[in-house]
Amino acid sequence: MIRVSNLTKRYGKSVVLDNLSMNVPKGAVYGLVGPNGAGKTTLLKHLSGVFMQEEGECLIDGQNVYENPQIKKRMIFIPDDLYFFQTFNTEDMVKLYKNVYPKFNMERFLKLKEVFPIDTKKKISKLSKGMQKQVAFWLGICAMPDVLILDEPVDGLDPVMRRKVWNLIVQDITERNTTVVVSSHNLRELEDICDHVGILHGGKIIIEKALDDVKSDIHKVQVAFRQEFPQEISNELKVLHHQSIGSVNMLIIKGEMEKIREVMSKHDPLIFDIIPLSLEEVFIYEMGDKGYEITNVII
Amino acid sequence: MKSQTSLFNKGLFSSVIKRYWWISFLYFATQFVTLPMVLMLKKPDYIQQYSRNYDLSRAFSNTAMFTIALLYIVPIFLAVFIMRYLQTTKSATMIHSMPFTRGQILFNMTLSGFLLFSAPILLNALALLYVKNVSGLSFLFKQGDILYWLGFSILMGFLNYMICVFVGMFSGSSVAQGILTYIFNLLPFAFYLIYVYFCDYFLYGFEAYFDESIFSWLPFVKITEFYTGRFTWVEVTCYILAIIVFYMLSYIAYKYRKLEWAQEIITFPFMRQIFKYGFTFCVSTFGTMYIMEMKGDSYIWVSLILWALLGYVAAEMMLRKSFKVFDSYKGFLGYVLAMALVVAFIEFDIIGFEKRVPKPDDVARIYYNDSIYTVRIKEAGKYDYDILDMETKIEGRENIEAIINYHKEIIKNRDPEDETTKHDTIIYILKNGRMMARSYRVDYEKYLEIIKPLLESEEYKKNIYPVYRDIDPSYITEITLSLNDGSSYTLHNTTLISEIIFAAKEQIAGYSYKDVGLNPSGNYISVRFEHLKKDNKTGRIKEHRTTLMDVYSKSDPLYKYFEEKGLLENVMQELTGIDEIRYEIYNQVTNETKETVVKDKDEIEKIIKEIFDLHENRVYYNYNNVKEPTNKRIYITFRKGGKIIRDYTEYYFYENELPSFIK
Repeated sequence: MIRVSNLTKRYGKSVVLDNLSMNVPKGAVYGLVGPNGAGKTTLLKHLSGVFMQEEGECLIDGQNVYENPQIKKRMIFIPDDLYFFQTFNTEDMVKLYKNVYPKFNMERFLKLKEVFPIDTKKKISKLSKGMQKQVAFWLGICAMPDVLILDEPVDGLDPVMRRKVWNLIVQDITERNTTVVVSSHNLRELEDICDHVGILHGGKIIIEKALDDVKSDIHKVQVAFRQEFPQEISNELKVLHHQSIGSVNMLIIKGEMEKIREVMSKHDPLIFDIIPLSLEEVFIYEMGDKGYEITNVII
Repeated sequence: MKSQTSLFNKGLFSSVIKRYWWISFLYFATQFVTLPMVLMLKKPDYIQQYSRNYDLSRAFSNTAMFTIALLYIVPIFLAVFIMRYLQTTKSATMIHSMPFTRGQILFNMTLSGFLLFSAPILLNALALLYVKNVSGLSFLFKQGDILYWLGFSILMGFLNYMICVFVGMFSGSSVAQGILTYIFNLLPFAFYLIYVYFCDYFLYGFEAYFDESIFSWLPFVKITEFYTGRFTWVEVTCYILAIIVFYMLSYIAYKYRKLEWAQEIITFPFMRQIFKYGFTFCVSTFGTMYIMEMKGDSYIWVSLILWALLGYVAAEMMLRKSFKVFDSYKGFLGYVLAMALVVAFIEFDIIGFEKRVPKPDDVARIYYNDSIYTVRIKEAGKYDYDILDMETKIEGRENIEAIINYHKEIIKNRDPEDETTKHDTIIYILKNGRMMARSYRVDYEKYLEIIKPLLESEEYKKNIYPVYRDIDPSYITEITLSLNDGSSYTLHNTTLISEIIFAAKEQIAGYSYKDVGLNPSGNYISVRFEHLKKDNKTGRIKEHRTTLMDVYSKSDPLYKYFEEKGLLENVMQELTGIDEIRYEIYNQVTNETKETVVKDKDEIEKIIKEIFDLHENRVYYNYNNVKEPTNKRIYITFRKGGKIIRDYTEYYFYENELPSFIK
């Protein structure tokens, strides 16, 4: 669906995106993670056709996004810092959207009116930031996009509002199989919603994975043996991390679960548990494996 | 697929209208109040009076001038507002994430801008039409006037709009966009002024002539010419083309403009360099021009460098939006070096401007002591000549050679430029059709011998003394003799006129090169030859041409003729019957005034004669050594029956010329 290859972007002399490539399959919810200033917004502005790429390509369904209204009609970009015309209220924006997005669904808009407690006759610029974000989502979802690009969608919102926004996104995904790219500097927030995650660091996507793969690939194992910890295990399995408290060992192991069970059972452990990893932990170890110090990359 | 081919988008278009209709409305209201309403409120009697005193054809355009002046402001204001979407990151992101190409955005912005700008004008044109047809003021202006106003306003205003949009592509700040638009419009003037000013300073012989006419096509200048009502179809076509060109250029720039440049003063990196050094250059030159006008040229180098430094630092601060700019000193050094090369290039006259003197064979004619402006008119054959006008054109081969020799000598000598020197201009028209103009300040007396062939030539005498030409005596309708004391006598007798002309020719024929070349001071009698024709019905003067000649001494043929015919007595008649003369001598040093009263008849006659003869001796005005007058000021009154009939005020005398009765 979305294919970015060898994208490079410079601001003056500093390179923000450095020969970056990424892939988002159709219907995926792609979480783009990276610290502040990693270039998430810059990348999203390329995906949404706002920025012109200097080098490389930014394709949706095989077509360049930049200056391509046909593609952009099927896509909504909700930036972090929203902008609405000074004098416009929500109704004015609806009129504008109707003329701009051919698939704009008025029924849906009216139906969602129950969800959003917003006065549509009030100037949007007079609404609070949270309200403005809701308006943006409301309008965006009603444009019936195939692709939804969200830059820090819940940044600066209170927990109730966060819940609400995430729900809306999830609802839309499940209803219409929308492809979503969502950025955040917070992995935990993306955990429940994303099925793909890409980590942006130093202008590159350093890791890009489907979450199912990630989770089935790395395992947290709690194991205790009667005798000393058998060193063979370290040779047979790929241990990313090892910590021992007394006789109890905490291992992070990369590999298939079956193989881990097989190897462990050979040594007849007293305790043997495989504990689910949080997404954050997965990436900490994945990246440690690739030589990145996690604290530098994800705050 | 239909939408792909259509540039127009209703949503985008109407969003602009919706946001900025108020500008349009204000524009309409201002125009309405100042034009149709003012015309409506004019009282009939005022208009009748007006029509008696003024040219009615101007009545409309004079009233419309204010609305025309708005063309300098409103379109630029409007364009800055409409282009605002591009100048902040947030709005630029919003608009450009929508499914439009940049071509579509620009098209809709321009179209809505056009509507917002032209609708008020159109409405007011309708209001004017109403005023004309309903209010009974129809005689005040024609339907054509309204149409002209409408067309002129929309065309010139929208051109300004488009220029502002174009400039906006190169700026990421609304304020800068507005200011840069005005600068852009005035830039040709500024550069030309710098060129003329500094060439005049650095190049010896450069004729500093600021030719405004070459800018008449500039929109900012053209707007001022609304009242003339002259606007050819060629011009209209050119301005329409200019609008299209600026649209296309804006589109091209827009295509390459990066959105992250919003909020920068200057967008494109190459433009930043041009801006930086251009700004430095302009601040440096204009600052120096100011200093030179105030304090003279002694500080020129310091001034050029200091102002450049100021400009450079200011430009760098604006571009970086920071005060930390001092690490970029290399750019400044580069600028100074480059400018030093340019100045050296001019100073050492690499192109040979200062030493260039044409060969006599290459010269078709010379205009000696004329301005480039008039020479252009004369060369175009549009000069309204009269036989009594002075002429500057020299065509005789020997005279051309004399001027060229003179020119060479000037270049060799390089006289200092001070107030005592004479300003001389030589304009060559070369055989290849080109013009070469030089002007100098010269110590003229030094060159008299060199230029003697010219000064004594028939051609030159005919040039500067129109009476010397083959003139038809009947063309001169009157001759006035004026004496230095203010008395004058006008004669219309045709016989006398032809005889005076004859005597004048005789006198001119006898002039030496000194008589011609130097301006003798202290003329005795001034003779004015006039061609005057009046309209029989109105009594107004239809034609009036005049030329002057001076008589300096009693040995001049003209004086002899006047004496012979007793004409001078006519002039002096007024002075008979004087019964009292008083003279006050004021001494400037002691601050004392001494008054003397003369009542003796013989004494009175003697004084009159002496004063009349004072200027008999010819004195050449010397540019170098202006003689200091004495510190005595004399105030003389001639009285008849107690009444002052003539007075001489502020009479300064040279020490050796003091009248005998004063000593």
